[in-house]
Amino acid sequence: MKLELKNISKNFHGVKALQNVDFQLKANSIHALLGENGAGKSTLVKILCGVYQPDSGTINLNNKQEVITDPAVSLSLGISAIHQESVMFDELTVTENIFIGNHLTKSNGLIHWNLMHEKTKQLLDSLEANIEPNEKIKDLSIAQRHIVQISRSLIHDADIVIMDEPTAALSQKEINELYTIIQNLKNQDKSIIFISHKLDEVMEVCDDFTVLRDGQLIKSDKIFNTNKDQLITYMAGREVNQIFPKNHIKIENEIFQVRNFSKKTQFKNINFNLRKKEILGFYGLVGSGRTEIMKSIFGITKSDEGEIIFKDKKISISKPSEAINQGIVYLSEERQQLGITGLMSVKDNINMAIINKNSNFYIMDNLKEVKNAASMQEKLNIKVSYWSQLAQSLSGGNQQKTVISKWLSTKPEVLILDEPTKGIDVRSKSAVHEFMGELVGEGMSIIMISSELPEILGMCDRVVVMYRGLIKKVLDVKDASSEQIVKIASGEE
Amino acid sequence: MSIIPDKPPFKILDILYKKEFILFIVLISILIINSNITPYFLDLYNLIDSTFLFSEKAIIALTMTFIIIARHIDLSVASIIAVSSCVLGYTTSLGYDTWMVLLLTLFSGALCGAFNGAIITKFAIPSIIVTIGTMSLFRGLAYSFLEDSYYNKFPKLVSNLGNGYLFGYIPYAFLTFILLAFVFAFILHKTSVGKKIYSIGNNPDAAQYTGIAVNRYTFVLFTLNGLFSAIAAIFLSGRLSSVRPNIAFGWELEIITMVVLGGVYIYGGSGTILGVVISIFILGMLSFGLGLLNIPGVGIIIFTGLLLILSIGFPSFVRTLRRKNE
Repeated sequence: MKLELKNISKNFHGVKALQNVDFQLKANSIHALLGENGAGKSTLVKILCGVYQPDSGTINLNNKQEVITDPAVSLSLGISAIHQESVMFDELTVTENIFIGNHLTKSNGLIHWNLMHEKTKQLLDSLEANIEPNEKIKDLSIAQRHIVQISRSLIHDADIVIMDEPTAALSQKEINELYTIIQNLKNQDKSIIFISHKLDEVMEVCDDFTVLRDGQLIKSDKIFNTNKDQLITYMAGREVNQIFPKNHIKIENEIFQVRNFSKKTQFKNINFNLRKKEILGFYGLVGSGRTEIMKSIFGITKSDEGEIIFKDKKISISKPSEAINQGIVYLSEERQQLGITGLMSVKDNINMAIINKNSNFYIMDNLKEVKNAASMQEKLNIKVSYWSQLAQSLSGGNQQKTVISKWLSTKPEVLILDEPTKGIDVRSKSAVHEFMGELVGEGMSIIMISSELPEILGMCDRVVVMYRGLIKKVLDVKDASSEQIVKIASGEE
Repeated sequence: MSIIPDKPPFKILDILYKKEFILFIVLISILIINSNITPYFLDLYNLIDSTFLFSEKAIIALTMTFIIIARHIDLSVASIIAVSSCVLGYTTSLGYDTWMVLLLTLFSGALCGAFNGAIITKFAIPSIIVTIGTMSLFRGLAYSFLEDSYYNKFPKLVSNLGNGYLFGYIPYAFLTFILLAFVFAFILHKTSVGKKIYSIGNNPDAAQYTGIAVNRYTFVLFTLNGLFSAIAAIFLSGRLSSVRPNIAFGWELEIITMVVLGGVYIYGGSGTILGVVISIFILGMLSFGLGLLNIPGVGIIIFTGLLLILSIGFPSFVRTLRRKNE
């Protein structure tokens, strides 16, 4: 046994984050650590990284008891974590990022750049990654950044690599590349703790699994002894309807049309239409132009040419407020930067898009604000203790519900959702899906960008598949297979 | 459905987190200490006259509060005072009517502010850089216009505004500040405009994505800041009855200190007018008291520094202490 945690407990202000949790990691294996948000996964990881000290329990590494007093000790023991929101230095090169904190020096004390570049190159080659050592981090894709982080942990001779949702922001192709790298690591005798909300990939990639719920160990076993539904039951403590609430709603006539939309270097000749009560999926690799099209429709950027027809009338949108007034809203995939305003209250966040409606001749009407917030809170079941609570204190799922509430407050007719379930737990996810079903039932039309095929296939009526800024095909989901969609999206068809 | 309360249940210790409360205690202490060490402090006429020392800066501090809450900063205000004062003196010397003189003075200030706002929004340059530039630019204009000379003739109304009292008691500048403070507190805390300014300051990108006209707000705020600098210029020129190009030199930092001491977060998004008003009184009473004691200007700077650290640091100090106890 490589790593053995026994009877680990940790309390925060009387909240039991972990209670007598055992965790065993075998040598060269990929071990999935599963659980909903707040189940105790990150507390466990932070204990391993030396950020927190357990209140009780022991940690054995290679059959030797260790006390991990701080992150430096954790690193020196060969434990390395790759975080969801990567901690990197954007303006520095790949080499500098990998060697940060322990530069190699020549005998005269100067930095030995050549050696560092060379080592970096070797390392990246061993991972079969196509990255140049002297590229700046800000020029890399998210997938490439992950690989640089992995390289950084390898430089530290990490034996145990912890990955926190490494595929959350990646496209299918990048995910496949990452899987290869993870397999390579395993072949190099490393052990990997793999945290993910995507059960398909857990089933595909991992050897063992451990499920936590409410700070307690629920189940730990080999992955081939279980299946997806069972894992969900372990995690949720009850059956969650993972089968997407496919709506049998009668789709009505066309409501929204985009014609000949083009923007230099981003997308070209985009034509599609959306029907009332329809959910239209957009699938493609990251960078295929999906998000860029939606930003142009919403008035964030300007398209070079093309027109939008809404309810049989040509409309022009040059800024977001015009789109919102027309009844078209866009939920960005970047929840932290462009969605939630963390230091404002939940109530203010929910009401942010209807400030004008909540005021009488510029004077704010608190009653209207509370009324709207309460109705949204009830509708989406946002877990909030009091209205002045800051939005940043909510869990990811509840933050996303808050942002969705913000947009629903404007009573839109066309709702554009960009990766609406990215990085939120299973239960919140299915709540969002269920809710989307309700919304189209009420007469709304939804465009959903997603990189998760099950979500696309489960929720959408039709799917637009994009490749390099072009719409390759619009498929009826009924007749589409996931293989076909992936093929088109990677330009093979 | 359970009713969600607006705030968590009130605990008496929570009041220690309130910057306004800390500032209020500081103000009271300064008043008590001052009145104990010098008998002249509590003299009503002296106290009223002491407001002349800060009212002009305080007027600009109000718009500066909006600017800083909106995650910007304006370092050019003192230089705008210089420009507007020159316009005031020059138009007077041309023999224009009083109302025309005032109008052109106000217009010059607003124009300078609009220039800042236009550059910041059009070219997306950080306001700190733009206003560092215009701080020199505007001051330079005043210098090249006036060179070694100065203006000492102003319309009667301007001199009255600078030196006069309403009903013989309340200085016009102070009165203007107090009235404007009420207006600004109302706008910031009770209207949709205030809500939007907070939203912009907390997350400008999210605000833009939410349909708030971020650029338009920024432009208007900077224009307003210029206009208010011109108002301050009118009071100041009237009071000094002489305008040199180095007028109000270094005021930008004093004004920003007023705002930051008042609990406005320098990175935007939070702060109240009440806090700024208390902080203005603290600084005013402090320098007045120290002046009566014949303590030189250095003393004021040292005290201001200590106050800043105390008032900003105290709430987080209490929070850390409380967390440790739990």
